[in-house]
Amino acid sequence: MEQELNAYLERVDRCLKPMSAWERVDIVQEIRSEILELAEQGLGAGAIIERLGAPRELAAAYLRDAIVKNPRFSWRRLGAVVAFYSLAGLGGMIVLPATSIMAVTFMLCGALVPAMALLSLAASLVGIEVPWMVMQLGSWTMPPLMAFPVAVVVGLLLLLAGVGMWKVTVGFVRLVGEKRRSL
Amino acid sequence: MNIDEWRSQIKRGTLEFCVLLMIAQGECYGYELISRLEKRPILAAKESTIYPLLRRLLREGLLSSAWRESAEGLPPRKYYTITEQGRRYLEAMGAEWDNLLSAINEIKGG
Repeated sequence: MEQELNAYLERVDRCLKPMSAWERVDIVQEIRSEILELAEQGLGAGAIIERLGAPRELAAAYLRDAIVKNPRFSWRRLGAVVAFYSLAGLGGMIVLPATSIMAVTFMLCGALVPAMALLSLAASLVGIEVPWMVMQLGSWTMPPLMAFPVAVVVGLLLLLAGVGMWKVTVGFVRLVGEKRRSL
Repeated sequence: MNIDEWRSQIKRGTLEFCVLLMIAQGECYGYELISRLEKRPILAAKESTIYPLLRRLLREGLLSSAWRESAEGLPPRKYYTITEQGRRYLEAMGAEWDNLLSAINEIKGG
């Protein structure tokens, strides 16, 4: 009996990977405390596990809450999204990887484009030409002085697109979580 | 007609209120809350709902928690207490709730 319950707790713990170590310990402790209490009342391992539900689903409830109730972007939360979609079935397998990867890519490019333009501007001011770092429209190459403000605008638009994609990601997690959550 | 769907929507909207109300009356641990809610079918909620909800209320500063040894032979329990901020929030929720009830009653009374 003990073995079965320990295996259950280990599985919950494994599904909670993207949360911080102390948070995982705290969560698992609390579930263990209830398990021991139920056992004390004479419930068998099977009945306890049935009451708590599948370990992945219990873990998914914690992950979902951590993503949805604190929707700002962070690498840790991105990790939680990745872990959540592995638990959330087919819809999550298709939509979430696409939207979360796009969110990160857009945000990174949004930072990268103006940074590159600034570098290229600085290089041109000291008289160095960097041919692989230019703003090109068709066959016309923009002079660095003009490329920089354009790059700032493009970067901002990309950042906005990234934030939008992240919002779509969080919204989808909320939708999936709500549908699966039976009270 | 699916009354269950409507009932679970009501539950979703009010569970936080009920949990805060119970903890405001005296510190509680998670399983205690769950088994007290279980006695009222309209409010019964699973572990996968209550524990994440408690974590969120902690994160938002409405509750505080402490691990403590309990009766002999039983494992330590995580007890939840309401904070000052939690009390203020609960008061506001109570006012809105009364507000809602009287509005419904007004509509019913035509």
